[in-house]
Amino acid sequence: MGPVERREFLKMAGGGALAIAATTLPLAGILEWPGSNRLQFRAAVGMPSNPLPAYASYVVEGNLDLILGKGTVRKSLYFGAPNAMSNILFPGAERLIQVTDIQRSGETIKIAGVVDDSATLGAQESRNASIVIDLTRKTAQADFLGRTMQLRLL
Amino acid sequence: MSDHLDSPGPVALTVDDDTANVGPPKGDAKTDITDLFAFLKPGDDSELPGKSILILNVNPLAPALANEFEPGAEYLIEVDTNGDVIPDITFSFAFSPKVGGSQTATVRRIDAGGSRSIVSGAPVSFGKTPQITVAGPYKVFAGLRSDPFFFDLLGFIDDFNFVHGDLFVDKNVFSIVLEVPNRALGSTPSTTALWARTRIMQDGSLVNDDRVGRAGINTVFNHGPDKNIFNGIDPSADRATINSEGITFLQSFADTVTALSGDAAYGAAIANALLPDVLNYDFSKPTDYAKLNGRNLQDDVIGISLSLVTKGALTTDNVGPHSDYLDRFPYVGTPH
Repeated sequence: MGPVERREFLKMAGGGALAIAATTLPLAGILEWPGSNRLQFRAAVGMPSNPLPAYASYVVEGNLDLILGKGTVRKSLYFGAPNAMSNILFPGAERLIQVTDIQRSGETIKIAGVVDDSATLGAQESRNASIVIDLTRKTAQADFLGRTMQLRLL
Repeated sequence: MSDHLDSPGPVALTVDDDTANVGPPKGDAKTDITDLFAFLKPGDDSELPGKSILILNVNPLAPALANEFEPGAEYLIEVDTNGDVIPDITFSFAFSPKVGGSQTATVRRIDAGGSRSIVSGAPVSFGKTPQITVAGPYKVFAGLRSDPFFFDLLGFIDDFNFVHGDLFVDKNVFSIVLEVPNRALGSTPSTTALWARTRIMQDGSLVNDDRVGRAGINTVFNHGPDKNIFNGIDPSADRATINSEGITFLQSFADTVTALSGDAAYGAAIANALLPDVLNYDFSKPTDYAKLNGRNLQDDVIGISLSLVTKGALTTDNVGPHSDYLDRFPYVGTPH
């Protein structure tokens, strides 16, 4: 990674990516080892939506085994917009998902899972979770507190 | 929607041999102002009430992010007495380094006549029992307290879907509470306005860090880097300063209110009312945030602000005042 790329990466990664920042996750926000079963991704969107300024970043990140159809996905809310994300987690908004199924069709990956701790769920949330990654459009679709959100792969 | 974490501290990230600070360049939780309150001392029934309570809260989610005041920083409550948005009186709070779990506060009042010490060596409270220092007509408290602010912040982030409850009901902040004789606020209550300011030491100089007048102005109206630009300027520059998008803050505020209300003339009028960002405080009249006069702990600033920026389309976030406010000094509740 060259100096400019590194700077951009650091800018994009934000404070919420401390653990991931030490890896070689590329700018596309998704890491797939050639010939490997493993896939890592990270996506974010600023909230609330326009015209209000983003006050927080909804982040979805996953670590998957494509052959076994297993892995984990973590959904978190960080204070700060995606371009100035802090490392401060929003209390009560974190969800850990155990992946139960992964279906890949071309550049689309559909992930199904269940929220690890149902006690964390709000009234409008289901324990079942689904995440759709579109590698062509570099987007991810995931539920946020019972509402479907479109995120950009970082 | 108040100003909690509008300026979270920088975060250092290292990749290979490069380190970069992401996030806003200045400030941390210790100097991150959450709210400013100014109200007549409860129970003071004289015709021209004699005392006011000024509260400057910092350090959101305390003590998770920080468990002290920043030594070397200045915590200021600025008072403009004549409507020119230039401070005529300053109440300045400074803190010693925290040693052995203890920290002390020094309070000064500064005006054109000079700087005068109100109290020095006042102990900072880190426990549930407030340590109060009395100095003549003044009372001073500084330390950990229950956060008085109430808001469905998750609902705001969830695009005004206010079903998530009050995020702050079990949170704490660091409070600075000053009981002050009204005569120390000047003699022209109808043109008096306040704002809170923190300044931090950077490269040997004190520089502006955070700033708050009314509730949630920076959080609601300013995008990305504009939050720190706004924090850095003084209220007298609020209207004319150009933001990162190349327009004035006044125009930017008007655009946001117009988008939310669907009425350009209304948007311009509200932007003019909200800037400069100061808390008008006529201490000869009852305190009422809805009448743009000071701010009580229990004032529903979110309901008032929602109604204002949406032209009445939204009037509540479905949460109300906390039940732990005290009826006596320091008024902010026992920490959780």
